[in-house]
Amino acid sequence: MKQRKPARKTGNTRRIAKASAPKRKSDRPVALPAECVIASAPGLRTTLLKRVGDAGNVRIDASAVQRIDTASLQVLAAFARDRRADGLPLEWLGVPDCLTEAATLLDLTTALGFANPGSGSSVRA
Amino acid sequence: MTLDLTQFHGVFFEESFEALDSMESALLKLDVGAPDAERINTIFRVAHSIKGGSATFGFTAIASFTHSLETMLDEMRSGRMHVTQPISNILLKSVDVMRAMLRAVQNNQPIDAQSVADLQFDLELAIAQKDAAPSASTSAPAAAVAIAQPSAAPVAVAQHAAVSTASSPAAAPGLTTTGEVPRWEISFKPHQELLARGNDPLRMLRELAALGKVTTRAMLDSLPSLDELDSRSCYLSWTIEVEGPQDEQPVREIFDWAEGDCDLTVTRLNPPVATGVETSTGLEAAAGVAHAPNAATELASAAAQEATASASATAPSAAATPAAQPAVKEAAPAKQEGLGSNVGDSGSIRVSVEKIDELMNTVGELVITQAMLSQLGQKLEGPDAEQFRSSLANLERNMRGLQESVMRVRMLPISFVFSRFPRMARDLAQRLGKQIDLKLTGQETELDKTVMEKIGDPLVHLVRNSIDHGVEMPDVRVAKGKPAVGTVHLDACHRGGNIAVEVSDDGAGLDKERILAKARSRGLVGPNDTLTDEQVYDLVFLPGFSTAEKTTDVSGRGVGMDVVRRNVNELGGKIEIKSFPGKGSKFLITLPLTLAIVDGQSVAVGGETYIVPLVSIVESMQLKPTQVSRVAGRGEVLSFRGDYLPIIRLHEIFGVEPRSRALHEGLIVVAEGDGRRVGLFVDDLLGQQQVVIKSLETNYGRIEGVSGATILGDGCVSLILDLPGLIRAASMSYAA
Repeated sequence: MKQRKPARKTGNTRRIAKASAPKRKSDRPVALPAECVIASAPGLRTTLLKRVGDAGNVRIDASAVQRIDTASLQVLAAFARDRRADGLPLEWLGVPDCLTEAATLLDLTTALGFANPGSGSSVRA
Repeated sequence: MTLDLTQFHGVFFEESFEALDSMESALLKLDVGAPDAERINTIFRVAHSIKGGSATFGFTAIASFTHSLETMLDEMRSGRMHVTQPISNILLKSVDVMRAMLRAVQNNQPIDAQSVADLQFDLELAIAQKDAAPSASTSAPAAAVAIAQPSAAPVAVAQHAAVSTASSPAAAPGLTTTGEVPRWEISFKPHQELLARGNDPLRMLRELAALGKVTTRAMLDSLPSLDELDSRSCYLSWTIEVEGPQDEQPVREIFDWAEGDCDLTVTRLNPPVATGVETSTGLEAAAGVAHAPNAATELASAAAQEATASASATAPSAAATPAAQPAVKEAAPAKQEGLGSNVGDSGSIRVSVEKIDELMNTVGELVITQAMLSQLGQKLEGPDAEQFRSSLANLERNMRGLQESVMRVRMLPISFVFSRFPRMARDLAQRLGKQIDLKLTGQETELDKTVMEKIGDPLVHLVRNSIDHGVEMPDVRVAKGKPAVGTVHLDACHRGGNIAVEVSDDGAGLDKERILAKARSRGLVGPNDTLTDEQVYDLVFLPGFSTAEKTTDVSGRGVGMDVVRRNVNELGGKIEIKSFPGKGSKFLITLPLTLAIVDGQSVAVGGETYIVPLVSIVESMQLKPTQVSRVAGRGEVLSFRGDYLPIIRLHEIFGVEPRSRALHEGLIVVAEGDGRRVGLFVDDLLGQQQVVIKSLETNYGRIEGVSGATILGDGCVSLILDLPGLIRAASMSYAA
């Protein structure tokens, strides 16, 4: 496994991102598709890979999600954990019930950053 | 990924029918009032397996019906409902309905929805009437899911309130003997390929949540960073605690489809105090009927899983199992043991009949080749000839061994046929108002599968006859000084290379006078003819012959006695009747062990060799000219022990030029078929041997008087005579 970079100690990135309108292209939230299933998981991974090291606040828009499976949640969990390890912020937007239920059942709420505001992630329904 | 489930349908039906048979026999043994707990368990497991299988395959009607049945059985199992005669009847009817449903689905025919609905209503009514005590139901937690959780603590998941209903006993959290809700710890470690094979742990967890309160702890230690992650591989594993299910089985069933794609251990965290109960149930479940496609493997794995589970359960497992790794390691030897012991218990495999027939055929060919070699060896001379012959003798011995082993593979205990009779006797006795004690003996006697399939119907007819016509009504019996309960006895045994099956009863016996009167009225017997007992009893085998004063639905169904005899004859067997007025009657069927090989006497007629089955031969003799007389229109007859037997000249029947046409220059083989004896005129007797029967119908066409052909040691084809057919053919040719 790749050696992760030590988490940065800069405190300013650990704040909860404000829901301000995106100014740059990279500020756009990552929109999850309605069907987050194993078939779409490789695409999701590719998308997230581009943003994993983003120094700015990465927002994931989950409002369209109607169905999600373990494969997709696993990709999201790896992404969230990698960012957290680097001390980078992550914000969830429009988390639907089906996503919270799935994350809870799989005990991935912490890994996804649903439940740990102190770690630099935030959730807005 | 989609899996074509239809490929498992055949196995499912086969197993379900077998399971229903065992359920039926368990039901028949169930004592009303004081049922054996284990028997109820057996019955319950069958219903449960069929329910599981039919739900898996989408046979919803069957699944729904068996669910009701299972509910009732569960009530009985837990002692909340008692086994009464009406309940026992409903359960037996359920077996019939399930069988009919399975048969309908198997043949793509519509299910008789009305009868299913009626019985299901009866079932549910019975449950509702008996189920006075409210089941201990725990308050279903709210369905709300909290988003924020303390980071370190396991996540408690509230179950969907709608899923837990009181009608589903397996799903409803109940109380054990200790009063504690059973808690199970599941260590679920998917292999990397689990997701790619179409399994989704999320779906399994949802199903678990439907069983009871679920608490999950995910292990993310193996989850790589995003750039190293293969999105189709599973890196996560879970420790799940579920509260509620009484049995381990429903928990395991959820992971059925992931079998082989994960490491799974299920451990009861709070074992019940009543020792033995849970464990034995679990083990018996493993030994019981498997419900899903591959029975053999599943049985083995189920046993292994049970062993694993019990091994973990007996070990004082700490409530908090931080790492599941050691638990798996501990369980590994147990798994091995489980597999081993299971193989010892039921080391059997399912093989298609075609494969065995193919093997049988090959062995048959080998027997012929070996016979050819033996014949060749006899002619050899020279220094090595003796050694060659002794090797040939070895070969012959081994061939015989091989042949016997292959034959044994095709053999099944006759209990497969007998097992249908207890139910039949019970139903018939109830309907006719008689009391019957059905005794079955010699059930382990083995006979060829083909013979068994064909003997079923004749036996049904005989048993039905015995109950309907043989055994008298209880009051009549008592008046005659007999016990009110009549006995019908079915017995099977090996008798000198044959199987003897006997159906006897202690009823009134055959009424000789009535049979004779009936035969006279129909002109079958002349008014002044005197017949021996044997000949009188023989009359009942004539087509359409019945002395029953009224045709009941019992005696009106199925095959007649003429068909019984024809079926038995077709199998190369014979049937005899013995009757003792007022004491009972006895039908004795003698059958060959197999239809593939026959013991025969080879006889020479001109340049041809024919095989006469030994079972048909009475004796062989040389005729004196004085023993023969000619009867106008009926050919030649010979006097044989005070009887006159027609002589059949085989050379005339088969159009062969004989060595001599003079009867005293050849030999007479007295043989019988269809209860008639004849003298077969042949040139010579050649020897006795076992011959492999080759079907003429398959390879050429049907010939009256010939049951098949065989290949002799010298490579020549020889016809095997069918005595009943030969007698028919001969009498027709003389009549013409």
